[in-house]
Amino acid sequence: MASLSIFRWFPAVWFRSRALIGHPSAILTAAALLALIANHLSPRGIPWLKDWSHYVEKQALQEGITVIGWHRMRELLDRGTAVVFDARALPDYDRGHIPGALPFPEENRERFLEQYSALLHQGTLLVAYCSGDECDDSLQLLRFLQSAGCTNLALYAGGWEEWRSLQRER
Amino acid sequence: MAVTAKGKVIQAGRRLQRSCAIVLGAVFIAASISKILHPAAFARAVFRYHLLPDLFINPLAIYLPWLELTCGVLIAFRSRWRPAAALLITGMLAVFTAAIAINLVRGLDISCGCFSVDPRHGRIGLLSIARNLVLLLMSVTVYLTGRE
Repeated sequence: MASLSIFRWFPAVWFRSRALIGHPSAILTAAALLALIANHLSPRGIPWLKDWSHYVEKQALQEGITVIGWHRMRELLDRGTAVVFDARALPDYDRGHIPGALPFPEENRERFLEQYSALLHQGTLLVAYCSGDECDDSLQLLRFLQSAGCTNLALYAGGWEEWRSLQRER
Repeated sequence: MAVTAKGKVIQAGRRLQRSCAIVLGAVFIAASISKILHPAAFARAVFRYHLLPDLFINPLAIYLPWLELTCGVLIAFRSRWRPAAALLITGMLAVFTAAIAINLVRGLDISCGCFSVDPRHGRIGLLSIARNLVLLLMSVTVYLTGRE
């Protein structure tokens, strides 16, 4: 009797295991094959492995510095509730920068600190950016401001490259 | 009379399952296209969640859009494969929702990367979680009504 009941239930068990394991496994495998082929053939294909450790926002988050994106950056600029510093070299700043951003290059940082002293130490949010998300001038500037006693700091990781490309497409 | 009522319930159930499956299929196919076309930008969107070790970011960015596309096509057009696709979609939605929730709690300001890899679109927020929960409910419905 026991063996009979096993046979009676076997089709249902088989169907369920197929629906639960067989079909999902087949879909996962098919998608993997498609991904493999498409990434190999596509001119936009990317390497399977990439080192992301040098990306500035990763380091900033590890140091407890707030990271903001394009949306937040726009909000801050629209409301005028933050002081934005451009950490790139002066010639780069002169060629183009985020509207309202002030230059704060690596050279003569002490002089710029003195120049902006009225803007600092008031609890205002200080945002820094550099050329893109792989440069670290902005993070170094934030560290410098931190050592000078500023506490409300944020990094705009996308930097000038992201800002310019997104503004151009608007 | 009782048989008719039961039949109506079954028919309504099938209609509901089909409607949910078509909506989910359309959503997942639409979600996959931008990611397939711009894998590097999608990899950056995945990185910005700061949840995965570096080793897994690019493989996921390459694989996930194709899994979304495959599941989307199968759930919408192949009724035999519907339960399996619904099961995988449920799993994906659960993971996506958890990832968004974690970053909302962390206070990270990132774009969702859900339907577009453009950083200007789809900033994460409570709305993205609500949308995912609705889709999750639909995928569970498709799975449960489509098993037999």
